[in-house]
Amino acid sequence: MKKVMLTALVLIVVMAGAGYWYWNKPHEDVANAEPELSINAQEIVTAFVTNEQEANTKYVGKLIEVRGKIFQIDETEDGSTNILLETSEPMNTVLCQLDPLQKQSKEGIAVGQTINVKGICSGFTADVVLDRCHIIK
Amino acid sequence: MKKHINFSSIINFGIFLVLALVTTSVSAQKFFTREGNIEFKSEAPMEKIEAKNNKVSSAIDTKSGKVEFAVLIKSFHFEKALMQEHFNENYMESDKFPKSTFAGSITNLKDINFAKDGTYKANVSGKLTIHGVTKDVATVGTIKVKGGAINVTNAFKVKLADYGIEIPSVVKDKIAKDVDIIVNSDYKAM
Repeated sequence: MKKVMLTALVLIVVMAGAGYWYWNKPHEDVANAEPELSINAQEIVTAFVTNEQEANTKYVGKLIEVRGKIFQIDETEDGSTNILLETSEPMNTVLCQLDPLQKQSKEGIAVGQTINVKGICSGFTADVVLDRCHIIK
Repeated sequence: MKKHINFSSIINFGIFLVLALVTTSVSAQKFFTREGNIEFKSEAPMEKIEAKNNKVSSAIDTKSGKVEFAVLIKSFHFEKALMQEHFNENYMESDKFPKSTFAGSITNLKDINFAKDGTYKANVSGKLTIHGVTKDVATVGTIKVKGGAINVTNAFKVKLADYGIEIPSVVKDKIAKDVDIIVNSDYKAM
């Protein structure tokens, strides 16, 4: 009987622990994840402009590596850094927001430079938006 | 002599045309942002649910009064990863409906002087699309004009049931049926 009680107690503790971990589980580790796809800025923007629905299925929710030339760097009031990658249309860029959860050095990033960035694609507004971005060195 | 008068009146007309064009191009401005903020809050007995999106794209045409917003659901950031996951998968189905939009117009355009610093009330009505469902909405926002740029703030409630967002019965009493949407965006002239 004592053994049964003890087993039950251990089980409860383990389950509570698992529940607590699950409730507080960490955000995805993007910094160390491999991108699923690699594409250049112009190509991904063209894909969304041409057929947004199809591009949504192909790219949204996926960790993507995008290569492009930095057109603008925005430091917003809330402390975010957004890197805009150039395409042939100034109104359609790839907006890469640097990961606020896993910080990285922004040293050496400058307008005009060509970089590779990985981030999770959230979709298309007038820009293709990548969240939680990391610059690939 | 007659010819001469005609010539000067042509010049005058020309000056008038140029002036008219310049004035129109100054007042017919478009304001734009790709980094607007939208926040939502839901006060529930169990836990406060809140998330922020700081990559809202929006444009306001001061001549036609047209207002547009595009908001990506996956760009809402939650403190708890699990909550973000549930929000995307169970409630918003963001793989199927990645974007929410608003397309409407300011209906009291004559009360707002985009060329003069000040705070103005803007009556806005239009179509709000969330979770693939489009509804007519109307709200009153605040437009602050300062030094050629504008700031827009607005708060309104969205009833989840109106947009076909189902709350699983197990948590029905723990999740509020309405959520507060708070808009706060800085625009630049285009």
